Amino acid sequence: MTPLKIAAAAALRLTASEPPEPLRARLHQAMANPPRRINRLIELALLGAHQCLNGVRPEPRCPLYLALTHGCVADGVALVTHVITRELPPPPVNFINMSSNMAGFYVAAALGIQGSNQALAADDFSFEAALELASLGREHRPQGLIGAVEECAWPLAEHRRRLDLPADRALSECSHWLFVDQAAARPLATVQWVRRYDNEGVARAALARERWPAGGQLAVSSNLRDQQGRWSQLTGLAPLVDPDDVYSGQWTAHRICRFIESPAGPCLLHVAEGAYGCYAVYVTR
Amino acid sequence: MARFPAVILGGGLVTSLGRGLPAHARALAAGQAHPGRSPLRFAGRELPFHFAAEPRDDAGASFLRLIEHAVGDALTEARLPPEAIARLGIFVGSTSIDLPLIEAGYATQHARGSMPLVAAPRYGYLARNIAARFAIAGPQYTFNTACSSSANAALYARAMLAEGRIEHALVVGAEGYTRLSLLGFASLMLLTREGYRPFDRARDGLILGEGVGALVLGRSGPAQAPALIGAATACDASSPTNSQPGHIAGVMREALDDAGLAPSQLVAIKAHGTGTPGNDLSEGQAVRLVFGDAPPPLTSVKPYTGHTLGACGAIEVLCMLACWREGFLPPTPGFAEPDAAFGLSALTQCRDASAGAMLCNFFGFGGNNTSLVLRHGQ
Repeated sequence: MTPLKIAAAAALRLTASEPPEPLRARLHQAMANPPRRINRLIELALLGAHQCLNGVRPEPRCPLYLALTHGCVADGVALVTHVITRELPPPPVNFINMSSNMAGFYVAAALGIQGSNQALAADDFSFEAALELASLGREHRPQGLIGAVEECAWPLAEHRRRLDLPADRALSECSHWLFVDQAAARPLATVQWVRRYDNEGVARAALARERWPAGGQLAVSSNLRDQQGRWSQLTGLAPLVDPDDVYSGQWTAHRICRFIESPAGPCLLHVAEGAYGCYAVYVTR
Repeated sequence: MARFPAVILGGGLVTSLGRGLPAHARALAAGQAHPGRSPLRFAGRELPFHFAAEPRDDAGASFLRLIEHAVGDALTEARLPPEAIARLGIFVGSTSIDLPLIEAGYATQHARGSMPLVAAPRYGYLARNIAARFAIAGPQYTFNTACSSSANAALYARAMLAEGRIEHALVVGAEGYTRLSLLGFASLMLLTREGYRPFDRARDGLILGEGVGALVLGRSGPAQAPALIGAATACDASSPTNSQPGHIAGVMREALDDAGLAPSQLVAIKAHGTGTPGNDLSEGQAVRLVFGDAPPPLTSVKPYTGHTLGACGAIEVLCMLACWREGFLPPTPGFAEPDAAFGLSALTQCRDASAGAMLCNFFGFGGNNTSLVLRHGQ
């Protein structure tokens, strides 16, 4: 794939607490006239995208790829409950906003862009998939916005049960964004490649053959955490240890965007294992 | 993208019209729509709905069975060797994704009097389920862009094929019955009271439907095989629900450019044709902007199957291919009089058509507009 030059990045993560932190005030700080009648997923998307671009206006045909794992979970839960238990139609605005591509729509409207606008999922690999799609036809489209947004549904105790998580597990919401600009003279970082392997063994063999820069870092998905030392030994990269154990539906995006915001070495290799193989993403400063 | 035909090697289709492309060609040739009734009422009246013509037990299980049938039929027709099936890229497009399963599960528990928990949506669930059922180990992508979802799935499948990242792609548009979608469209006042009439001056809304369309695309295939030869998508950020004619026209032109065709070279337009006053007005005016006074024959297949939301991309492409194979374009049931605001006439009877290129439009909430160009028999 064509390497993606990253001109801007934002890693926005909010640790969830009871009651939920209202986002409206933050939104007013981030943009002059935030849209009304939007849901929390849209608010999160707008906050992260504005933090990433920080006033930069993308070209009008800039495409947007929004990675999702659970998508619009809060409205989804509320509206299913409403329709089944009360046997009433959903409020029209809530129903329209439940379509996850509305988050990308409002970001596009705020930025004045009208390129391809995709809400995208890929089981455990939605951010990797968004990077893959964003790299298609790069010679024709110099810019691109790639986001990863997840929200919680309250009450959190119920949401933990919904996600099959322990009762004491900390939860987070997120809005991570990358702005790709192939014309950037001094990009913050470059996503050199995204590769998929049939299984962990194949990934291990392939990544062991690569030469990695000294001082580089390695991150793994949460289900590989027990084996991070082994992966580190295999590649010679230093393990990136998470300071906390907060659940996120977008770990890959969190790690990559945070690395680009505050790099701790010359490169980051992120390895994730999921239901249909392994993905590796390689980012250099 | 350089000119690239993504060859359609196989198709599978399950809707209210039946299972398989021949059944759909027969139903579309008859030119009549036969919507069913849902168990729901709104504002004192029953809500029509096109249920898939398959045995129906548990709504969630029925939905997965529709997918299994459509995908199985598409793979059978494509005749790929097992190793090629194992490496297929899966591209799912859906609006509700696993909502039929979530809603059915919740409703069952609620009816039993328990205190149920609404499950978390898993946007990748359908693709994962297809992969497990058919032993497919390739990459998976799920597109959730409202009514253009599976059209976008096809667009990106073609792009991945064009760059040689995959050899074959399985594109699946899937939409199951949910109370939430039906009541949601009712609350938006978008459901018809008088009958489905796309582009007619008296049109007043749509009827929803469920169904699954599956296509196997390849980088190469028989010379006469139908192909997806052009595509474009863009977001009209001016309104979340109504796109501007100029924006839609731009997407249609871009798709034609991608296919290397002039508007005059098309043999037909498969319109999005939802039958709502606003959407048909925008699409009709956009067609006028691109084709002027001489648009090619135009039709909408939504009256036959119902509007299948995110699945309509795959389903309607396959409906048109089914008719094309039999040498005709289907009429638009319900159309009688043109709307003076754009003056387009939809087909009112079958029209002979065996070869050529066709523009297929798909528009969704969130300003998501996508056009595909199909070629058949050339």
